[in-house]
Amino acid sequence: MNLKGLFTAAILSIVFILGYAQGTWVVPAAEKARKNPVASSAESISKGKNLYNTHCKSCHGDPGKNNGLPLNPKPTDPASDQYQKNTDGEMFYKITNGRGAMPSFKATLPEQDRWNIINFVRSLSKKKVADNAAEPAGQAEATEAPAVAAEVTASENDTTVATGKIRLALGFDEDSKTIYARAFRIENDKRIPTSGVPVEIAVKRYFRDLRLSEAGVLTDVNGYVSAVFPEDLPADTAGNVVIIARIPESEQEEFGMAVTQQTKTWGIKLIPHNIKDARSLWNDNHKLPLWLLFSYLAAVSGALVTFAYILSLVWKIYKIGKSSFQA
Amino acid sequence: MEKKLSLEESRQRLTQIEDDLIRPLKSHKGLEIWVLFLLLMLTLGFYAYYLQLRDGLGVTALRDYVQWGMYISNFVFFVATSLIGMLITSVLGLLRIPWITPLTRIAETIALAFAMFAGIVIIIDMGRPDRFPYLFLHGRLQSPILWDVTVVTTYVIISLLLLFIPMIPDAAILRRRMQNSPKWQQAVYKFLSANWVAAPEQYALIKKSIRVLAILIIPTALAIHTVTSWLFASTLRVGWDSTIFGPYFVSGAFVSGVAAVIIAMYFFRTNYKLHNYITEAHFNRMGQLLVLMCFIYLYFNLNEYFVPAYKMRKAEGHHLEALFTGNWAVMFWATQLGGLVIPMLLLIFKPFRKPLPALIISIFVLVGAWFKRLLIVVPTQQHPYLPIQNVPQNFITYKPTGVEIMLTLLPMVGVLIVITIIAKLFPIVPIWETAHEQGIDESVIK
Repeated sequence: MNLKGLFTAAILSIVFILGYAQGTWVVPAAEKARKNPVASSAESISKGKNLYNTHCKSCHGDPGKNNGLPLNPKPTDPASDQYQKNTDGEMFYKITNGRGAMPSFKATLPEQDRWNIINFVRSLSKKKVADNAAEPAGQAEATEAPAVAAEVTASENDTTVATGKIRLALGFDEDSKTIYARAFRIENDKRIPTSGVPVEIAVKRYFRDLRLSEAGVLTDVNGYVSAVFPEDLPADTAGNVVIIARIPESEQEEFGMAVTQQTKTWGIKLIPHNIKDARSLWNDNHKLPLWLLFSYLAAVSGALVTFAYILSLVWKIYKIGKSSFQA
Repeated sequence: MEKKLSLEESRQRLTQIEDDLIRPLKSHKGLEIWVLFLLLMLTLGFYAYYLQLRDGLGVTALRDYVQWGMYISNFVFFVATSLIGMLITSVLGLLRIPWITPLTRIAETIALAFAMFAGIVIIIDMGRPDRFPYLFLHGRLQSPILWDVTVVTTYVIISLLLLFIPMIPDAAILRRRMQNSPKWQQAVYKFLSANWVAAPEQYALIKKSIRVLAILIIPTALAIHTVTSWLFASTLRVGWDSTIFGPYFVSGAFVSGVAAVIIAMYFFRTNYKLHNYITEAHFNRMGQLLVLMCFIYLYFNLNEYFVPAYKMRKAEGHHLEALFTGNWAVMFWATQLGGLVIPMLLLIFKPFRKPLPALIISIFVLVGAWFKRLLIVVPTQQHPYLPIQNVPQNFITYKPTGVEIMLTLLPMVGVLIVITIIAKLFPIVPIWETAHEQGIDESVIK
């Protein structure tokens, strides 16, 4: 065993010892009682999901699949009941300070982001989602939507194509040009809005569609995902744009396929511009640049005027001769 | 010139000059053979044209790659050679260079004949000459081709005026001296003499006309050949995509023009026995002029070939290698050395500026000038923009056919016919200007 091997062994044993020694992770009571200041919104959950995928997934694995790295202690699956027993304050403390192989994110992630991750982790528990829905913050989120809810309901059946339980409906707020997509499932002929469903809102274009909603966004407690239609989006001559709501392909394994679309005249109308309308060197003869026309005419008329002048001089020679003959 | 002759002396001297210069118009010894030769060539040319009209441009070697072959090279050569009218009459004339007087009409005749036939060469190049009016009906004013048609036409008119306005007093003299000539010929003289009575006001008017035309012809002549160069330079093709093509063509034009005038001078001097009028001093001067023009042209050649060759950009490199060491190398170096560098070096020495050596050197220069145009026009087109698969061999190589060669010679025969007609109807050396130069009183020249 060489020196390097010894060193590695020493590190490993320290990690093992620490792991065993601290089998339970005690969080100070004050920290444990700390409340999440960031409301659990679709936005926050979506951000949290992205952050989870970037910073946590490599060790903790896919939530609910218990496929974290085989370390000791094993990184907990955040969707597991064991993990969900943690209070928000406990989760925050653990993410912030770390322990053993779990690094501290104090310097890496701002507090806001750490809370976003916690909101995402909470959204993985169905029980917790229900709890969240009862929270005042969730209510505030939900009040935004009712204005369009009726419209969403009206259109929901006609356009949805779905293979799973989740169906989608689109609604629009004409004034703010906001698009709402609602995810729901039908149980006993009733539509039950479904939260935590990854839904993207996009505009159809050639090749890949243009996504308007944030990446990885999940439906909120009322089943909504929203996106603001951009003001500078070019469309056809009538301004038609096809707006699509769907479950992204990467999530279809879990949620099934669901897509709905609707045409709006929100885009910037295409004013057909034929480049041959303008005068230019490469255009047809009657579309020649004026400077060229005038230069040409000036040169040619200059020559013609000179010829006329020369002929008048010759005519004078002729006249002089004629009068001299007569004399 | 220095001393004024008395009226009696003037009359005597004028009669002498008239006798010398009008004699060739009366004796036609050897003319029949010359005319027979021209008619034979003309017949062959027309037969070749008949074949081309009947079967289309397929009878030539012009194909998809080389679409501008000998015909367009010929066109450029004709336009180039015609520029000499501007150099002699206008530039040297306005500078009051005294020795050019007996050469002005030769230069103008060459200018007119070549400019006229430049237009006809274009028609020969058209597979469907019946579509010639389309050039004007559907021509794009944005295209250098239409500008070229415009300036060539303008140049022909100016050359016509510059040939016939200075001929007014001579026509009056001919009207008096050629009373035995046919009626139509006398009618021509009468028409062209414009009631010339040698009045001082008439002299003033004629000199004014010549001066105005001499000024107008400078921009026109520069335009005619610069625009001709733009037919090439306004493309992106290797060998043509050059910013100096305008002056390169103009300077090359003077080389071939001066050579053409020296050849004509020699011919008229020996055949018309004009040794007293076109002297060795004139050959000496024209030889010097040719050295200067060759030098300027060589300078532009250096820029045109050396600068891209120094960089050898890929596409340009292929083109230049074809010229320098490839399948065009023999013609390229023969033209550059035999048609430009060696003639220039030889003409620096006075013995080579005597009439016969000057004639031989000028023939080399003129033939070289023609091949130089071919070297500018054809090789570039053998490098198409995009490579094509399964290209037929006759697209890649360009071997002119017999019909094509005959139709290239046809306009040259036409030029010779025009020069012959003018030189048989009118004194090739202007009488009144020569007389004036010798101090003969202006009032007697009528």
